[in-house]
Amino acid sequence: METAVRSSIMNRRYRRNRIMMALAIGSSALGLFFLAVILATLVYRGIDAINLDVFTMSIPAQGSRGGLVNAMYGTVVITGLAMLIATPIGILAGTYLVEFANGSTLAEAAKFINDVLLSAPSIVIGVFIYGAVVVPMHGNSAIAGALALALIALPVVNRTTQDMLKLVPNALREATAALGAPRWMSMTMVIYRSAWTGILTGILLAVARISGETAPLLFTAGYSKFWNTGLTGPMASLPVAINTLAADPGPDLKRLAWGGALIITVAILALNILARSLAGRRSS
Amino acid sequence: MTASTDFAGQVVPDSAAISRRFRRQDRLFFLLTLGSATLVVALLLAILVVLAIEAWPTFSTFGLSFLWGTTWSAPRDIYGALPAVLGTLISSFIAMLIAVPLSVGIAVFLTELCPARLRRPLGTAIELLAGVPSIIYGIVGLFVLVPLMQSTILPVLMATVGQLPLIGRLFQAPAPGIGLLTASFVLSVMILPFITAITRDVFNTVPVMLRESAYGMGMTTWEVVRHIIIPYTRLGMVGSIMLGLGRALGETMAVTFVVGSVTRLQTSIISPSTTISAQIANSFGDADGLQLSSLIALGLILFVLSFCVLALAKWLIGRTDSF
Amino acid sequence: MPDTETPTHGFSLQAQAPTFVQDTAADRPVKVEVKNLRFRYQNGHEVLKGIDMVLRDKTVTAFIGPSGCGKSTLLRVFNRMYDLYPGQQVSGEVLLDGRNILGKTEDLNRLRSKIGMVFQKPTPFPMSIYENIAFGIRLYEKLSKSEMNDRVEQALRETALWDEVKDKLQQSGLGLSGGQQQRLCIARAVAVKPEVLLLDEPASALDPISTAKVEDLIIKLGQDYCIAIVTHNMQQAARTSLYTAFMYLGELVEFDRTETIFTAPKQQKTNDYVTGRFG
Repeated sequence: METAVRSSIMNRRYRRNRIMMALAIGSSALGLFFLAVILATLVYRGIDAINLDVFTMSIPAQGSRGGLVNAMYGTVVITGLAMLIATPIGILAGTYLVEFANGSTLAEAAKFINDVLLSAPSIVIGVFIYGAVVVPMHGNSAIAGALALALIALPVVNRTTQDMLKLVPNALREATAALGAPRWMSMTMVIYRSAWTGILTGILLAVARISGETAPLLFTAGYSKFWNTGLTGPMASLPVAINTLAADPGPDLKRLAWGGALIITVAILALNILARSLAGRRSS
Repeated sequence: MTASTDFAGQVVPDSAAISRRFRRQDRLFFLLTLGSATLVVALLLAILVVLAIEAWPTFSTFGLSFLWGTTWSAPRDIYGALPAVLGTLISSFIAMLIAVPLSVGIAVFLTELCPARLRRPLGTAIELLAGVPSIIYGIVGLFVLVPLMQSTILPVLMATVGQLPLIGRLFQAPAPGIGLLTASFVLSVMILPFITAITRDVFNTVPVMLRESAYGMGMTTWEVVRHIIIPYTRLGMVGSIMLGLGRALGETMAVTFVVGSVTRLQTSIISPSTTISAQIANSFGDADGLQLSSLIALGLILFVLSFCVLALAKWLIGRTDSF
Repeated sequence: MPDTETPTHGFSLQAQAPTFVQDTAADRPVKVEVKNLRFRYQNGHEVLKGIDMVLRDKTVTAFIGPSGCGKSTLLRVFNRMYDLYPGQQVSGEVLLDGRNILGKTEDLNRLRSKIGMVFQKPTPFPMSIYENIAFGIRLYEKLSKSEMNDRVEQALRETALWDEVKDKLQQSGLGLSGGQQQRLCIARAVAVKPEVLLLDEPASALDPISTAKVEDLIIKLGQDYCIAIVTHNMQQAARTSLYTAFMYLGELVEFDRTETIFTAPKQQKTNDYVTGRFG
């Protein structure tokens, strides 16, 4: 039989539990609310700007017809180039750190340095590329932008490769070696293959991350209203175009900025979902 | 030995030559991976060297007093880092005050309360919030939050908290809506999913046995969280908070849109102000000479700040061995 | 590596008369000779303390002993697997056909192509069943499509897997059952026509029926290959091997015909172990 003291203790405990759990639920609701507000705002303000012109014409002057196709092209080119640079280097570097030097002090230091790069503020990367590439080249260029984004993607790919290679059981390495296979063949034919969904997930997340970056492109790839195909000249990207157009007093251009914001967000969220479904397939 | 004979009597090809080729290829593969790993290290050094060289004129002109100089004036060509550094530190601090409890709350919900069916979609939704590009936070902040701050939130704050002794001064100023507090709000939403994701992962490292035996004693969910999960994951949680802080310190676009660009010290946190990253983003395009050098020096300070935070986070997380 | 299996102890001669491998013919020639072999881990722990023994050609030799006695380590010296991990030291000699393979200049890829190995857990490569077997062959041989098909089929027949997989050669090797995966790994090792076959507890992760199939396979392969098998399962050692080495704490306690080890061991320790008194 419960005494009065005991039941009053129980009541107090349950009351506190209910309050705390209500707060946890409230936090989650708030988090979802933020996501909803952002998406709703983007759709509400951006949907008007989505028409055929956006996908076929370059950035206009205020009052004339135009679209964002040059900025989209720029984002694809700069991001693609950056991944072309970052992916092989990142995978090879991760391979060295896990397969050849795992556990050594130098490798641990290199892993730490990679994590420093991983968390480096993206604007600092932009400033670095400005000093290292833009100044010597005397001007903004798509190449400089791609290098800046590559420098952001590289540590992501490196880190993912390390994490995924660590998950590959040693027995598989031994089994390949036991056949007399050389190390590089063991890596390319067996080890990368068993880790590829994880590495691909990391690459997709890196693409999602860099294709939305603005800060490192402001002073590197720069901005242009025109369809530029040259890699040595300035090239617009969607984020930088949004940044420029949103600050423009012209209402048409502002609407175009919202349209661009909607497009880039949907594209990046789709990439994120794709990457996560891939990762989910691996874990199941 | 050019052609060896295996025990079954079949002639096999020249395995010595094949093996020599394998060794050459392996050597090349090894050097490729070594070169790539070295490149990553070299890049970090290159960043430090380039920033230091470009920032040198600033430090040779102002000395270390650049760090606590309070004036940033292009017309007078005098530059001090303090307003921007303080802006960065204060906005990040306020953002953490808001984001950390919310993140822990969401992580508790995701690991302890959420029905299994909802766990994945909800987790994905929170992670999607992390995927939204920072410029989106910037423009949504500017066009949605800033008007709201101006019309409702700031007047209410000024009328209530603003009347308190001591901290009241932080909330008294002409308030155009943009300012440090607004930037802090946007930042907190940005880092919320980031901290949540890591905290959730850290919570999931608590052994099932430990969790179950705690519930088995008749503990309520809150008691399990408070007395088992949080103590067990303490260091990992602090690590995740530090990683979130690192994010907040370096964030640029979301802040640039809503913080204003007032480069002097403010007594109020609701006034337009600046941060390191916002100042670089705002002024870098038209700067040259000493101003450019000073902006790069700000970048160097930011890099060092985020490095310290990361190192601390790594150290803490490393001690839990949960990552 | 943790031991996933409880050793089948209490091997009782009264309860079940084991059928030992009978080989009335004279001993086969020596294939591998181990001389005063010592092995030390990176942390300085010595796990092999001067081993002397031989493996004979076309003969199955079993290594038994309690966990941590060094039997797996010994097996992994034969194909220099320890070279994958830095800091491990070995001294003494291992002679393969009279040639020491522990030298610094030893060509490891080539050595391993001559010494096949099968591991405790099945390790199919993430590729098709066909490719799993063709992979190893392609490393050192250039074969036409039809020759390769023949070799793959031959290896799968040798391991009694052909009838089970012949209709799904292009499917992933990961889709097979555990027992089939392990026989695939044995087929993969056999396909390159090795001279020595090392089996590291090849049946310990398998169910009883798969285990029986693998044991039958070992007995069959023992007629053609020099096989060394590490096992925790006493009956398995008795059924499959002609010779047995009993190891304890890094030393070779007794090495003799399997029948002798199990019925009339010379050492008290061996007797205690095979009768299940310790382990």
